[in-house]
Amino acid sequence: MPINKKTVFINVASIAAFALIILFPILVAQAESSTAFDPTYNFAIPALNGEVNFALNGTYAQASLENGIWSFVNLQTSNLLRPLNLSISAIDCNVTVTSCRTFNITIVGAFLSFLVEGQGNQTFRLSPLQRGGDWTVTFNGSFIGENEGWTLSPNGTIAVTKAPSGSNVTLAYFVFPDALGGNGNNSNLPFYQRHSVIIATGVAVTITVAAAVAVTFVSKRNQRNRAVRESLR
Amino acid sequence: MTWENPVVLTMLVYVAVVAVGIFLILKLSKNKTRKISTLRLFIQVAAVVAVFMGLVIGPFDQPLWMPLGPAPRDNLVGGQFFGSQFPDGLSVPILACYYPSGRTVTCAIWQLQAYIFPFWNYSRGYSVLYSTSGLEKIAIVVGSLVAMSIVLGRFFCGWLCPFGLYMDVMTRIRKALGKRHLSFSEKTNTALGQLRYIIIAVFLILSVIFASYAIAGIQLIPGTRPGGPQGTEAGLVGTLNEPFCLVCPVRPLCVLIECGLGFMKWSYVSQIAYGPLYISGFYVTSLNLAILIVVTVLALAYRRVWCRICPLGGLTALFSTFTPFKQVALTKLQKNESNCTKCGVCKRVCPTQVTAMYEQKGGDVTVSGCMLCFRCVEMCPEKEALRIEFAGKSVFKSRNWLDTPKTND
Repeated sequence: MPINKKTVFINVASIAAFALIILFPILVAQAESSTAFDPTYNFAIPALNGEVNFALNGTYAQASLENGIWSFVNLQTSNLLRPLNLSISAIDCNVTVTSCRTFNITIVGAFLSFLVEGQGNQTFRLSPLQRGGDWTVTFNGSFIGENEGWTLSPNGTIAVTKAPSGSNVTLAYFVFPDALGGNGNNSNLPFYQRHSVIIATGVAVTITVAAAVAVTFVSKRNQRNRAVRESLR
Repeated sequence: MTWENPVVLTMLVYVAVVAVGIFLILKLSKNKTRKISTLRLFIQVAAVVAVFMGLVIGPFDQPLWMPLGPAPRDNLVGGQFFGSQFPDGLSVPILACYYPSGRTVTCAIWQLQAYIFPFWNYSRGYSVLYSTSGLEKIAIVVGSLVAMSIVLGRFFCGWLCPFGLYMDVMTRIRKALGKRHLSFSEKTNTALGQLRYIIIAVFLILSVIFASYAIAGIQLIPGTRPGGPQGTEAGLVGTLNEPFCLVCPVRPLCVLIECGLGFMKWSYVSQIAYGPLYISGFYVTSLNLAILIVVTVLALAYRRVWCRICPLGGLTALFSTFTPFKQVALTKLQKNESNCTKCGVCKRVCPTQVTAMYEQKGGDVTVSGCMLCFRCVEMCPEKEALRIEFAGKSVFKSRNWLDTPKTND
């Protein structure tokens, strides 16, 4: 078998070890104590004839019901970049949260989807969110204009008023960066932060080229030495 | 609790399955002329799963497309691990389409075009805080390509590219039908190899023309002045940006597969054709759909037909098989002329009809058309006539798989 098995096994083991090393901090971080919930949990709001459910697993540090509003502190699901505080209320309807996530990519924002059962009203407040963003609301994938089915209060609470029973409602919050007309601004950052990616790429390319040149040099030297040894035999 | 995290669990399972799979194939595969091919197929499938991994992690309860908004791709492993640093994905020399690959990795051709037009002046690609300089973003893409090409060269094409796997599947279908492959003449094959550089040049020049206003303040094509409601979309920008992607066969293939798997709404693909290039729904044009069909039919007859003209393969070759990169490339196909009996098996089994390993006199015979699939090395019946070298070390050598009895002269 001409394949260099040892090299293959070392490489495979290295990849596996590397993956475990990468994953270990995540495993540890997620092992922090908190109250877990899953789709079987019900958060009833008897005074408002409403109920809140989650169709996903997650944790929270604290949950309380006040004035018909369930408040979850440090809510964490697998799709949240960091824990969020979620206040949620359902009047004359059942709300099942199917997705709650945040993102910080070209644009920054959050995304919350839920199913509504019953013709009622729902309110939501997510915090903390980066300021200066815009909300988009869809009912079953159709975009709904503000005040045509939902309203936004100054404190950031979204009240959905006209979601049909059985509909899938999505609340999306986007903060556009400066170049896209938003608030992101990197002009005040130090040079190395503004250009961190190209610096990292430059370092990676330099190391790669240097290593490749070194390997080529050593390889050619070894070849020459071998040729000399063979010629002496 | 920890193990309930689907991303972490999936990653662990993935790594374990790939490691065990490689081990089992190397250990159990008895057919000496198929062992590496089997391993390659397994790694191709594993690579496709890795590239598209975001699609199998979910959640999938969101509409795929929101205006400038998040999609399932934002929940990918790549997004989870790289965070905001690589939202447009790490540039890779494989046809990993931007959306389906969930930005974990992204086709470098897309990035090269997109960062010229329409994102020359926009903080697109590497987080909100990333520089808005188009040149800087392009330098990062080219830098990544150079580094990866020096290390692995066109190994990416042979072992990791999803469309390469599609080409190989077509070949297997042809074999299953008992049909023999067709071959291009050497002249045609050479011309196809040169065509990919023309394709690269055409689409980059087109991108620069579209971006003329952003780059130089001169609008060469009406409707290419950036503006619009979100600051990037106006006129032709929305339909003609990234021109190669409008004809690339991989894009509709990704969309169709996603629809088939239920990750994308069929309504986006099945809308009535409209607009320039008859853009049909989201992500498909009549042109790239037609090209996909043509390439698929040709792939049933010719092995790896697309790979011969693939501009991305051409870029990878540019940075690994041409001077000065060739001198320092780490993955090479080496020939030992003294062990070669000129039987011609190597050039017959080469899926892209490369003949350098047959014709050249020895030494480094890696040429731009070679995808480093190792098939010639696997099939060469002469011990150590061909070998794959990585960083100066032999990782795979040809051997006498015919097992002819040894004779003492």
